[in-house]
This record gives sequence, C-alpha cells and structure tokens, in this order.
Amino acid sequence: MGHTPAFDAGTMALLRESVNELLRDAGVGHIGLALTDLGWSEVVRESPAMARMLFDEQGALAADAASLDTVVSLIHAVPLDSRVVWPVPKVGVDGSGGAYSGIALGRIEAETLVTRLDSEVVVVEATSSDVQRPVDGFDRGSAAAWYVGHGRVLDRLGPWDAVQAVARRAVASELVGLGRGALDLAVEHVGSREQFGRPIGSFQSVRHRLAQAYARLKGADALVTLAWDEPSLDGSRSARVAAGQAHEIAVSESIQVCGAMGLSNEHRLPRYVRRGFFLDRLVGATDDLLAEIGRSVIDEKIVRLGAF
Amino acid sequence: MTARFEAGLPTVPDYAASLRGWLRGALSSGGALEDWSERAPDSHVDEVRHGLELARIMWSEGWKRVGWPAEVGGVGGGPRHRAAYYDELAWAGVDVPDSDLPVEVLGPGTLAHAPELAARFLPNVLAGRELWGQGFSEPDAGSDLAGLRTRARPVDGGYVVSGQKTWTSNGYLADRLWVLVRTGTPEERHRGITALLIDADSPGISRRPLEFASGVEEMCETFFEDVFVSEDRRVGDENRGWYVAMDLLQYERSMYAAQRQGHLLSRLRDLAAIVRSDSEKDTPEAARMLAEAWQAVSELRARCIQTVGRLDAGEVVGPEASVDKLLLVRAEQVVFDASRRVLRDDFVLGSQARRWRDGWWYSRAASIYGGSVEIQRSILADRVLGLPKEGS
Repeated sequence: MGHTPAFDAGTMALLRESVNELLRDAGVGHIGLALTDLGWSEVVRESPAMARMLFDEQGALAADAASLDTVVSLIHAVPLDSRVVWPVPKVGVDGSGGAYSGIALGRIEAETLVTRLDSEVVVVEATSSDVQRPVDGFDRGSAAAWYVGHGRVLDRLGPWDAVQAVARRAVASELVGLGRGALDLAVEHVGSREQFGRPIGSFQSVRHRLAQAYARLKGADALVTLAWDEPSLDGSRSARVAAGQAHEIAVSESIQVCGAMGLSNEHRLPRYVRRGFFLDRLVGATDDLLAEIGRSVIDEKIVRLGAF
Repeated sequence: MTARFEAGLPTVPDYAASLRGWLRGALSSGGALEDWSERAPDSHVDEVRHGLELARIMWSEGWKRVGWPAEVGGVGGGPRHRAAYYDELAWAGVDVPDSDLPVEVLGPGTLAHAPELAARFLPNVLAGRELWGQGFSEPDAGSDLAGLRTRARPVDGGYVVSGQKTWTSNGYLADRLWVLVRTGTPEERHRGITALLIDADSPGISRRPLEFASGVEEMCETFFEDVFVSEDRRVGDENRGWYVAMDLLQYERSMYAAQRQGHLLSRLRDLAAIVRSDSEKDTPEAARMLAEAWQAVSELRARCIQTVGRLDAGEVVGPEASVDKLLLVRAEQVVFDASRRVLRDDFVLGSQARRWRDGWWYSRAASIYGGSVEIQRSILADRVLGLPKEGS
C-alpha cells in the first residue's frame, strides 16, 4: 500500500476526540463553522485521507451534522461551511419548476449554495423564491429538506463527477461507521441480555450472525481505505457499494439479535438504520451503482483496484 | 540462472512493473514462456507438472526468488513482493500453479521453526523441483484438529509414525509431506502434537487417491505403518507442533487469500468475455451477478493488500485473519455461483465448461477447508468481538 499517514497516532487520537465532541455538540445543525475553528482545512490539506475521520465519527454516533457538504471544499476553494443541494430526483414536492432541485442536509439560510447543473459543480445565488420543504421521510427527525432553486449561476467550478466521487467515499465511510455502531450496540446487548440462564450472545447463531457482519464491514472498510488513499471514480464507487451492503447486513443482524428492544425508539439502534438508508439515496444508490458496475465488468472496463 | 536482481532488491511497485512487462514479452512469440503456454494440460497430474515447470522457469529467470531470504536461494524481500508476483501472473492470464499454494502455507512456518530444513529443501520447492503436501486432517479429526490421533512414538534417532491422514493436499504427487502427529497423550490434545516433514517414499507409507466431486483426484488418504522419521525432520520442538501450525495458519489465511484473489479476478474476466461474446447471456441478471462477483473479489483484494502489508511489516495478524478467510469464501462462491447462472445451459449440459464446474465444486470446499466458516466465525466472536463463550 505504501501510504504513510502524515499524523502520528497521538495526534490522530486527539483529532478524533475533537471531531467526536463537535459532532455530539452540533445536534441537528451544520458542522462547517465549527470545523473551520478546529483548523480542519489545514488538516485535510496536509493529509486528504484524514477527511474520512469526520464521516467515520458521524456514522459511529449516528449524528446528523450535514458533514457531507464539506466534501466540496476538499476539491474546490469554497468555505468549509458551504451549503450544498444534492441532486436527488424530486419525490412529490410542489413548487414551480426551478433551475435546479434536490436535497439540502438542513434548512439553508446562506446567500449562495453549491449544486450540480449540466454535469458541473456550480455556485448559485440563493433567492427568496427558492422553495424549501422538510423531507417527511424514513429518517424521522432528520433536518433534510427538499430544495427547489431559481437563482443564477455565479461560478462554475469543475466536473460534478469529481465531487460525486469524494461524496461517495465520504458516504461509504459514514455507512461503515453506522454499521459498526449498530454492531457495537448488538454486541453490548447480547453480552448482557440473559435468557434460558445465559447471555444470548453465547448462542452460536447469534455469535455467527454478528461475526459474519463484522467480516463484511471489514471488507468494506478495506475498500474505503483504498478509495481515500488512491482516489479514483471506480474505487469510490466500489467502496460506496461495499459500504452500503455491509451496512444493510450489519443493521439487519443487529436488529434481529436485539429483539423487541431494538425495534423501539427508546433504543438507539433504529437511528443507525434510518441514517444509513437515507444516505443510500444521496449520491448514487447501492442498487443503481451495482447495475453500472455490472455493465463495466461486461464491457471489460475492469481495472485492478490498488496494488500490493 | 540469472543475475536479474544482483544489482539489488527492487521496490514492490518496480518489481511488479518489470514483471508485468517481462510477462508480456515472455508469453508472445519467441518468449521464454511461449512453449510452456502453448501446452494445454488435459489431466490433473498434467496440470501439476505444468505448474512445476512454470515454477522452474520463473525461478531460473529470477522472478520467483524475490520475496524469499538468501538462506533459501532468494534475493530478499517479503510477503508484499510475493503477493505482487502472484498478482501479476494472474493478471497476465497465467494461473498460479497448484504447487505454489502449499509453498505459501508451509514455507514461512518452516523457515521460522526449522531453518535447517528450510535451507535444505525450500530452494527445490520454490524452483519447482519438488512438491510438498499437507497432512493435517484425519478421518476423525477435521474441524477438531486437536483430536488428531496419528501417533509418533519416540525411538532412537527419531520417531515411528503410525496412523492415517485424509484430504492430504497434493498428497498423491507430493515428494514430502508436512504432517502433524501425536507425540503426547490424547488427553493432552493440542499440547501433545508435533510437526514432521516426512519423505513420501519412506517405507510404510501408502496412498490412496480421493476423487473429489468434480472428478479431480487432487487429494489422497495417506496411511502410515511404522514409518521411521529421523529427528532432524521435526519442525519446531516436540509437543509444540500445534503452535507451529497456528503460526502457519495466519499465512494460510492471508497469503493464500492473496493468491486466490488474482485467480478469481481472472475467472471473472473470462466470464465477462463469455457474456460479451454471446448476446443471449448479456441480461440484466447476468450483469447484476457479475457486479456482485466483482465487488466480492474487490473487497477481498483490498483486504489482502492491507493484511499482506501487515505481514510484510512483521506484524502478527492473529484472529483478524479470519476476516480474510470469510471474505475469500464469499468471493469464491459468488464468482462460481455467477458462472453457473451466467453460463446457463452451458454450465450443466455443455462440454466446454469443465473448468467452471471444477471451480464451482472447489468453491464449495472453500468454506470447509483451512478452518470452516463456522470455525472462523467462532474465532471472530471470541477473540475480536469479545462475545460470551458458546454454551456459557
């Protein structure tokens, strides 16, 4: 692999703790400004692969701090607290046809925002005729909103594909974090919950479900690491798919072994399901990407990912 | 012999790039592998011999010396170089020989625990001049390997071995057998096991080939009737064989996985080519299955790259190697399940699908040999997730 981290283990641990704290404090808000104060731009300039830490931690906490918006600043000279309208096809949203539409990870009160137009990353003017409506969807309690925008283009930054690739590996990181978070909750539960005179985690089927989920999470994590270390469109896409599948398996097995308690909103587990399924729709769903990959494989556009 | 690396050990990327370039020339007209590649082995025995010949050529050309220490005729380097070797071969369409598989399982352990035996025999193994087989399992000791019963009674100058092994890999053709035997009492279980390297032509050894479901006779039953094995053929200390074997297993679960990922990638490319050439096979379902197979192999590959990196840095891989094994099993089975669904009638009824059928059967064994998936999941549950012990 030959990748040398720019930061030592101690510094990384401190950064992780800081990011973790920020995410806990952010609640349902935007993390961009707080990250700026932390010096996050300098950190990721020094070591781009460190950016994944933000998404790992957001996933582990099942937090919702609109971190995904920050990926644009990893490629283009825009502020860390830039807001993005992610191009997701509208589902039952009223509002006169705008120039662009999609999902914002929270209500936008800025003067400008970033979105996709004609396959490009563009900065557009926010206007008073833009329509925002909360997404009333699977991820209850999420601040996500449908956004229909009418403002003019202020700047064209580059191809959308590049932003999408970073976003995919960011979402992949977060999905692995969410899957691991779900698994950790399950391990904790089965270690303490007793039935038939013993912890339910001592039954083979419970142990094996969780062990297999762990293996898939590690497989996805390896692809995510590769995608950050050696960025490519293909690598980011594969990491995104692997993470989506591993997340689905992890939450499925975790729900099963946590029994009825895991299906109640008093338990944290449902959050890990809701966040993951929401993220799945943002920058290319697992199923759609699999279809694309299949086509690439058949058309011989296969490249070996990474090297020994 | 070649002076290819006398100037010094190349970095892994340089080594991989030069090998890649050399293979292109070697496999074309007038190249060092042209004759070899034109021969098409038509039986398992022939395939093994063909693989040994490849090892001979690659050793004499110097490529195979990279990744092994000077003590065994190598030029230095480690697991990453070796993984790159297998990877470039596979990418060039050259399958890693069967004979190279036990090398990765048994070689590093032998080097570590019996350097004199390694210096004596490994050069010939690496150069394809001799073949090793692995004798661990017994009729009553599969998953519960610590219950093995083949007995080694200490005598003057060595041991007398009696018992039976089964599923001895490369067993029927092997020149030497790497065997776990019981030197302690049955009650001592893993604490009474010793590792021995036994010549297959020793008096008292007889072998009976086992026909795998595919029809391939790759493994055998091995019978030991009062076979004398001299003391200098012991690998590691007496009654410490289990620990040598556990050490070995982290190589089996990691380097073997690294060898196989390249093989599976090759098969996937072959399958894609078949679909591309036959529009009736090019369906959305086929595309989906190939995508799943690609993803499974990619997860395995990315993980192998990480694990081999750790091995190369001298880290102990430990129970996390069970993750690699589980990812390998999934990749094997997803690829060959895809071949069955994608090839449709051809897989079952056609006469050209032998390698796919053989591969499918072998992929069923993947979740059973080298520690079944049940064992691997138990290891992860106990030692990585820290779950309560079974039955507690």
